[in-house]
Amino acid sequence: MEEENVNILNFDDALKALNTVSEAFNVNVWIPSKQKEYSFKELEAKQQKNMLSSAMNSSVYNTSFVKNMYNVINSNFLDKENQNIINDFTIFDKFAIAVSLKDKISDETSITFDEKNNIVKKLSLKPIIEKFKTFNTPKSEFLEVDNENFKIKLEISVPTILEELEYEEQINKKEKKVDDIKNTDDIQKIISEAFIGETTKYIKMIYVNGNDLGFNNIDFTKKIRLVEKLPSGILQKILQIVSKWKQEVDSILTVETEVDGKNYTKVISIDGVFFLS
Amino acid sequence: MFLYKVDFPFSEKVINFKELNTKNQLDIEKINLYYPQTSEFSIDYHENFLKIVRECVENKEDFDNLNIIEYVLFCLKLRIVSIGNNIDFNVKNDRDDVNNINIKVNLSEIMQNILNLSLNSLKEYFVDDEVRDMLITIGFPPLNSVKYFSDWMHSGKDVSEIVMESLPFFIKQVKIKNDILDFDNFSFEQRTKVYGSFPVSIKNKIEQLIIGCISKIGENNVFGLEYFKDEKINFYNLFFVNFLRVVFSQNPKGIYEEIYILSNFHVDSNYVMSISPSERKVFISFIKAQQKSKESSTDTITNDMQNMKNSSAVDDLAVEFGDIPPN
Repeated sequence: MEEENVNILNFDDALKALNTVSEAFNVNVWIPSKQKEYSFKELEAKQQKNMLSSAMNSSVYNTSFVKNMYNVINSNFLDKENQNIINDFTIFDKFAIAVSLKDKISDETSITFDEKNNIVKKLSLKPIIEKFKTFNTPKSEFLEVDNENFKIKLEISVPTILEELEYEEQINKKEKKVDDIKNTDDIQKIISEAFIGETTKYIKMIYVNGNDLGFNNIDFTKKIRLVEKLPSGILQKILQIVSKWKQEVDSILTVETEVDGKNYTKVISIDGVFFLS
Repeated sequence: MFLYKVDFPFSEKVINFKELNTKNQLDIEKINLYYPQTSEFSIDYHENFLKIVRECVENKEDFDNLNIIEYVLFCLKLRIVSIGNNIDFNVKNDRDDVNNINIKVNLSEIMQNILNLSLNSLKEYFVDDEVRDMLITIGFPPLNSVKYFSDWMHSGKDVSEIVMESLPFFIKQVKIKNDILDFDNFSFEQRTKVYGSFPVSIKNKIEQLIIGCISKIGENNVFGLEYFKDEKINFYNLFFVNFLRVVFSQNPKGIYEEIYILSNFHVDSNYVMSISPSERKVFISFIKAQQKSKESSTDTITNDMQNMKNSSAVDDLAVEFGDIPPN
């Protein structure tokens, strides 16, 4: 019998060995904004646990999930030579990555179509992965507002995952828990902050009378203060564009089922709970 | 002298050991009396019991690396060698019209039961990924995990959460090509960290396998008797602490009586403390036999005297010597 030459590894080497083998457990993801496929390491057990923890987080914001998902994309991206490219990935690319990683964990995902009537179905995510291959990332759009004294021009684009992370780290660092909401004023405040915050994330550049305000180089606290000064009409237009883009991506994330002759549809939410189902 | 040895199926270790001595047995009875039989004291009882049992082992390092099932098997073997194979339970009956029930338990059969239960539950105990040349072997939690199970038991956490947290203790080894990750060499924190680095698809398979194993091993009672139907292997309630307590439980008064008898027969007390309970029984049986034969010889002399008293020959002898015959 041939004698096997084996090495007993210490803890540090064990982690390295496991890390190396983990890279062989990979998943190819179509990144819509790059129109290209990239390889990612499959989700690790610890990462999955963090995702589940973020699902349990009672914060009214999604900060913990945003951070976890960014960390997963950052550490599981296998094209190390082009590591920085991940910071260009959009939040819609993030959805494609999340769906592919989840599909690798389990063949079927449990979707609740109707909580009240307990309509829950297990579905494959593969059709969504296929649909993402046909999805075109929305191109930047420009909005202009003129009056007698000034001319404002805004560039609107889908935020990158890095911008989304920066926003969460700078604005939502003090997590507001559900228990912190005491009255309707608190709710209104949160909604209005979220509204301005969401809008701000989609603004790439602001030009006033042709001058670049350097919007891209300031932190989100300052960005929000600037956006708050914009005319409400322009904010409304931004919201319309954002809403249109979200509908496009929602159509990709929509699943359907039929129960007792009734059709149900559901837009899958990409959050911590998604990795639980 | 460590005259005995026992080899174990999972760790493939051979443990050399000697019998418990009288002092060890008394110490066990003392902790049996001292620690209440409640879950709060399980870990204290276990730690002290382990100290006593460990004294009987020659290769202590190997012993420390046994898993909990192997530890239970070892303790049973030690009990058989030192005290005996059978236990009589006099069990109270709830019905007034029925006397207490006497249940005889054969420890060798229990050992076999536990061995079968554990081997069956680990029947297919590996996750084999041929593509990546990776083999993960599942095992039972090591002896040094007992403290963690005790903490979990009192943590107030949900059972499913505890089970998920404890899973790294059920991995024995991971083999990647020619490299072996021996989990027995890792602390719990290290085990958890390595476990956290598994790809989720592999982790899911491991999870299913371990949960299947935990359920299967807890299906049947370890005694194989209806009366003990609730005595099942369950790591999460430290089943084995109470089980061993029952198996090693003896009447301390009886032990002290035997020591007292032996001392009265000039057997050196240090020597008594150093011999095993089985040896002590042998000495006691000698003494009892001697006492019995003494009693029967005393009876013979008394009878002879009585017979002599009633004999006419005695009277004749007395008269011959000018004496008065006895009444």
